[in-house]
Amino acid sequence: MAVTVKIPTPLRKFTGDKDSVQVEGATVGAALHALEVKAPGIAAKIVDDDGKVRRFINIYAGEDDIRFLDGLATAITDGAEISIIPAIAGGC
Amino acid sequence: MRDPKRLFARYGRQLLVDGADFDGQARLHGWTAVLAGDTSEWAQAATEACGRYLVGAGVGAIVAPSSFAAALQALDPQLHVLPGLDTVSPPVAHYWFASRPYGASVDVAVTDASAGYAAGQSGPARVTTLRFACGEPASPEVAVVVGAAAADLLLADVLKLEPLPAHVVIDWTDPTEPTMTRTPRSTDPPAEASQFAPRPGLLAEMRGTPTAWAPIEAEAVRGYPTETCGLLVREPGGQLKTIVCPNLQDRYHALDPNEFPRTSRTAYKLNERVIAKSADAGEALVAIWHSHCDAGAYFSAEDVRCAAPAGQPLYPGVAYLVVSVLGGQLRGAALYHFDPATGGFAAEHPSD
Repeated sequence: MAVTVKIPTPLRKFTGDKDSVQVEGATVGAALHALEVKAPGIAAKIVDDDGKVRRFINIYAGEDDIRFLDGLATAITDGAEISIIPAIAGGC
Repeated sequence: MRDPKRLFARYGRQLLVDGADFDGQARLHGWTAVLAGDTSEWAQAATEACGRYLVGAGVGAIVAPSSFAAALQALDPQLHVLPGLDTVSPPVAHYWFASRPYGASVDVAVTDASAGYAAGQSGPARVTTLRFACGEPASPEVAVVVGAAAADLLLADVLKLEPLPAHVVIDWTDPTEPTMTRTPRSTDPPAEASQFAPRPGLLAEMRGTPTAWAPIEAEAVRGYPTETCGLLVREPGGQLKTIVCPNLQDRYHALDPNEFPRTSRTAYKLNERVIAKSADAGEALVAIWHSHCDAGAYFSAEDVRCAAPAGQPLYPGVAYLVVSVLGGQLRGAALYHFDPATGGFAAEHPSD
């Protein structure tokens, strides 16, 4: 099923400056895999060597951070939007 | 606020100094001194001496290394003592102090046993280097004198008796005739602060825009003692607007305490989706803001790590505003921009 992946500014060098990419996938992980095929090198910026979403990256399936869903196994529906957004965090 | 009569009784000698008066004493009480030194005996002695002089003069709050924080607290039970860096190296000290405006504050660092080094700051991006030279390796006894000299320079600035110099050299090569040479600060703030590449104007605009500043101040005080956060955006009409966001840090901490070890007491995280919603409304992201509770308005190591984890900013061109809430009261604010030249974050100069 077709989903739209929103790409943040720092990662657009992998997508030819495109701010979104259409891919196929039934889960967030599958969509990222498809994204890597279209934009080689981007996946390593999003997930670490253990396949875990990097600390300073958030992946939202619709409105929800996938950390609170099923992670990369989170199922997505046709026409869904996946947003890759750098974290806004910090502390004293 | 302390009882004015007690202030007078304990710290009255500043009131006797020509030009200091009650306003000067009140300014001292409202300032935060920041102290740090490297691990050498010399640096520790100089830093502690500087701290003792500042506390004795009646400074209201002090950020001190753990090695002598208790000693300073013992000098004045009402002093607001905050944890600071236990050790710094000169380059780190320079960056550290350059990035800690504290609104109205005094910062002092003394490092390097051989050359002698101190940095003082009374306001954003005003770093003073204090270099010390003597014929023999500097002893802890001499370091006390240097620490006291640094304190005197800073007190004179706080009391508005004499502006903080840009550079100070103490030459003690002849033990019978030490000299102190002061180089006045340039009157051109941008040139003075060029090392840290501040970008002008935004902080002043922010503080002068009620729709931007009032919500930040209110939320930071309301949320104390937990950190608060949000965005600053520019509306299509050009007006600055603050978006207050819930701090989700506790939710992430509960989900994964290993990856998110901090709670909202010392960290913040917001729902980044708010950016997309703001952009859909035609708003441009200008800055990301958060509060520090019982800590200064500095850009912490954690802030740097989260804002530019690989040395490159996650949000290029976006500034970071940090506000300091001490004891439930807003005590300072500072705005930081990523500086490509240094790979770090630099504080915006207040007069820019």
